[in-house]
Amino acid sequence: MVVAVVIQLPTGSYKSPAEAAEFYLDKLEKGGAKKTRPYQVDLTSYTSLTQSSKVVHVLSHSEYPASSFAFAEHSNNQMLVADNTFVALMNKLKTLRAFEIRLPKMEVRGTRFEYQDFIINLGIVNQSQTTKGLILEVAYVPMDETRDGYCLIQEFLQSFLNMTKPMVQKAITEQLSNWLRSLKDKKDVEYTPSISLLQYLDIFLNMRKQPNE
Amino acid sequence: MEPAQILITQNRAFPSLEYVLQGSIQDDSVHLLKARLQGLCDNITGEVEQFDDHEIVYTLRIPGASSVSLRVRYAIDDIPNPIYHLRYVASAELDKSQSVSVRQFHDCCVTKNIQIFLQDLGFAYDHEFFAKGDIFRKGRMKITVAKISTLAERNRSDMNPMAMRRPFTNSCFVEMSLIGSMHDDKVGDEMKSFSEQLKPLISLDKIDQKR
Repeated sequence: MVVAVVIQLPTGSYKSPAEAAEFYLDKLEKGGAKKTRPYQVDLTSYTSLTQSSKVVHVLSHSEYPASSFAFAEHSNNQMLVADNTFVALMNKLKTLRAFEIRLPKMEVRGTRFEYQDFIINLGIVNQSQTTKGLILEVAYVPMDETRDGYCLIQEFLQSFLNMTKPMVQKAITEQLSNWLRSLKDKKDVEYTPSISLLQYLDIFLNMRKQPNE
Repeated sequence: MEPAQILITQNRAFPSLEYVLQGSIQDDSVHLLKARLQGLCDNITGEVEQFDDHEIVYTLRIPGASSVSLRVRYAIDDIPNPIYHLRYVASAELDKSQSVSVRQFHDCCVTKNIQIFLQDLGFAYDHEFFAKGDIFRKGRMKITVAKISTLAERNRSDMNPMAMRRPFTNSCFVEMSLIGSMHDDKVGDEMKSFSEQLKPLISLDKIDQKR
């Protein structure tokens, strides 16, 4: 069970994302969050050589070390969740010349915090040696009801990081707002870790489009 | 390093090899083979483990190269919430020095949307079959004795899929396999010597699939 919100943190007023990360780390620690272990998210994109450059994104997250998450671009399909050996299978398809890695890999490296029932992951996003920005994931563990969880996390961000409500609403990804909207007239739809990974994917793809600084 | 990170780095390269011997036996003598296997294998006291699987094969045609197939398999007994298994099996390497066939092998468990996912990737439905039978284990070895049947008619949702099975032949498919990580001559010898013990009933051999 978990509900998570993944956002890109603004770094504009700092010299570098690293400096901004220092600031946020300090803020989290002063607020009482405990550092637990390193945190890591990776994205590898495979471009199909058979089907007009269709792209498959494969993500992994240190919070789910035994799993891989795969998403085929331009499909209404849900995310495929697989064992982490799925990566080996994709690499096999790569050596068989069905796919190739054309787009740069993206990775997040950072620190995982715990604050009571919340897990906070803060990390710097890199695209092959270039820093692209700062990412924050706040997860509320004992719940899988998205709307209530989202409200709690929103309050957490307001009180912990002094973000205003409109700031949070602006920061959340299209994926999450679409998901929240789609829940309006449904009940009992569980939040799953794939939705977190889709939020990451959203941010990664936007970052890839941005020119390097 | 953290266990999480170790796992993440480990999955980067995971070469697996499957060592295989195959054969077949007529339906009316299969009970003899099963009795023999029950005596020789590890599961002497317990009940024999049974399986009933449905396998669907998807193929991707790669221009200028040979096509690649992925196999989706699930246990029918697990319906309505089966665990789907995705498998890549290369064609066997016909190494003369090996006494068994050796093929590259990758597998992972996946969520149920795998079939739509593969179609999104350009994979096309190739064929499907059912395998129902018994599994025997002897150390690291796994021996399956299975009846292979096909679907009498595809895409007839009004019919119970269980009722439409049609056996391919009136014999059973027997496969002895072992998953190892690298070329290991001992594995071949171990398997070959075990298959010798089944010789009067069945001859398990390495099969050239291209033949």
